Amino acid sequence: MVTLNHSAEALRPLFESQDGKFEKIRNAGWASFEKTGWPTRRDEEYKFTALDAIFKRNVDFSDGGFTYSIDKDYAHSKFYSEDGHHLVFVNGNYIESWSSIGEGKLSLSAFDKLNSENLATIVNQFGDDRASVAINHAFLSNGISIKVGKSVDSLPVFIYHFRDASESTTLSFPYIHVQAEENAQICLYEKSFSSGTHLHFASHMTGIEVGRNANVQFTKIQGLEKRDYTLDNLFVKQHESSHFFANTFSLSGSLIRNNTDISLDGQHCEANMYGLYFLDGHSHVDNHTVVDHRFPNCDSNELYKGIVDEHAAAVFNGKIFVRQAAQKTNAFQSNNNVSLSDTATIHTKPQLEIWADDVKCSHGCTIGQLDSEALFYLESRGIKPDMAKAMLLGAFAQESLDHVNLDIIKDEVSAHIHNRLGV
Amino acid sequence: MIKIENLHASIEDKEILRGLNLEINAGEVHAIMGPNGSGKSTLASVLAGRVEYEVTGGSVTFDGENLLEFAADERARKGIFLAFQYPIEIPGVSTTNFLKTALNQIRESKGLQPLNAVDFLKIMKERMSWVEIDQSLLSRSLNEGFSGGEKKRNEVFQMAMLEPKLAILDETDSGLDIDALKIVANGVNKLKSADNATIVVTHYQRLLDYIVPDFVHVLYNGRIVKSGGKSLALKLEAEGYDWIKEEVVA
Repeated sequence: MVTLNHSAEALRPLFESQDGKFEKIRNAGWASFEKTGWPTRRDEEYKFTALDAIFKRNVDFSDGGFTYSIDKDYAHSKFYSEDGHHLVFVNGNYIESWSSIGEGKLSLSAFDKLNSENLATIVNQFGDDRASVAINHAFLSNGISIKVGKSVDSLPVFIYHFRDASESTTLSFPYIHVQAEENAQICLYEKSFSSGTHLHFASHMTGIEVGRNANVQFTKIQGLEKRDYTLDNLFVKQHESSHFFANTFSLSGSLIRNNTDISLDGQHCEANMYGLYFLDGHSHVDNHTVVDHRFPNCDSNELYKGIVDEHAAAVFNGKIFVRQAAQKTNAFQSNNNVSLSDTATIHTKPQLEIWADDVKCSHGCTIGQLDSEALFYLESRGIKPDMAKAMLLGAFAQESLDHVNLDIIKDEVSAHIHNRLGV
Repeated sequence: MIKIENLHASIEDKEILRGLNLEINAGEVHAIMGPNGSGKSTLASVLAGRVEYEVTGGSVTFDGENLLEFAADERARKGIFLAFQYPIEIPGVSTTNFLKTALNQIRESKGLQPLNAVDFLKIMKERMSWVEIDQSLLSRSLNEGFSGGEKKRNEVFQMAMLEPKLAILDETDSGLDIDALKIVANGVNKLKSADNATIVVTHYQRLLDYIVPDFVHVLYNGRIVKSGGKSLALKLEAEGYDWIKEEVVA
């Protein structure tokens, strides 16, 4: 029996039990993880998010957690009824035979089909030495590399992560690499499902390269299940005149930490990050974002909204760097929270570091209750207080959906929110 | 319909209403005038159930029930309607959706089935014409980006949709040009019946040319100090409030 604690040591037997695949990357990842271990609350970046909340429990990872009992039909039953490329991951591994690739110019390679050199090039391109990246590398699974050509492929890509913890505690380490070439346009939608009563834990890596003049939208829906423990790393590199949108919907979950890092590596880029977290119970969701303006004439917009109820906790940390070369930068960031209970916790911290002098930057954060004037207005028309509250919350949340391209996704998130609000 | 007796109310420990008496019967229109700070808007807010105001004495009986026992939404379902002096903007909630919810909650409390979409739209179209309000305005977020006149028209439109027993118009005429004033007044008059009543809170006689009151009351220092017919409003317009203040002091 393996009981995880802060030390990297606890995962060693599991690490050593792996087969010889991706050996170089795994070994390098493990070496890095061994050095740092899991971050603790003493680490500034994890001050409010204790990863030991996951690992301090007596968790049995002894069987490695790589077994599963869900089948293809079950996976297909969760597909969106929308034309597109439907890609299935089970416990972190891409399963080609369960996936369905639509028409269009999308080239897709599973990691186990790539030679080790190409794979190393991909994996070394994104991320840094943080533990959540290192651990993903140390247990690198059958990820995918998606190449989107410049002939526009308008079909969306749906990525379904199934985590099956019905047999045992499960660890998932999926890796998704997207390379949008010059002028390419692509929308990706990612959704995670959990089943089984054991604990499951995932550390995701997504690396996206947005080519010159390309347009990429990446939307993720997470925390649909209460037992969702996820570290999620999204690294984006944008080339000249490219556009990128990230939409992050965290609908609850036990513990979710999103690291979203966007690097603007060319002029005239536009980066957009929108997020919504809607938390209850003892959910804990932490969004750490970075936008790095390294070139002139780029815009970035960031808006995260949160509704936090019961004993839930939300953490937001948004960093904007404007390097000396990045003149004429426009960077906006905002984080608005509504707290619905005295026991909910919200930590929000905007951080701007500006070295250039000709820039427009703003940031702001709010934590509040619902506007009592607005509530009174609705109630004065005969609307019961609970309903009035729900209507205002629905309206507050709805704004975060404005930038999602696909109606089926918008409707799904919107329905989820409205169901929970009872309107 | 409503009987207000010796009503005392304060906000943040400051007493505003100091023993107000007023009785209104079905079918009547009462105008309440008075100098700034006399308590006109407080009266409107207290009747609508705004929680910031504390009732410290007296009683309000509405249709035989103690109105003060009920929360704002319950009062609205019992037939009280306040047209706000400053209507609130609510981003993300469309007027249509909001009114449908309100109307159906009112209907539910009366034991009526909710209106289906077709019937709701039919009523809406009809009432829209009463206040000359445009469909495009109603599918937008509630009052967001509306002009002052549009907001006030939207208040009267909501009133037309909800068909209250007692409508309280809190300075609905403020900020309206003469054309908008006529439109708003027309809407109010269309709704007038033998079964409902209206309280018109206003600073100016002008509105009363279009919504003709049966009674005019002067509120001063938290009390109604003078009541009369429409001619009282004309006299106030011509002479101001000084003579009333002198009478009160004497």
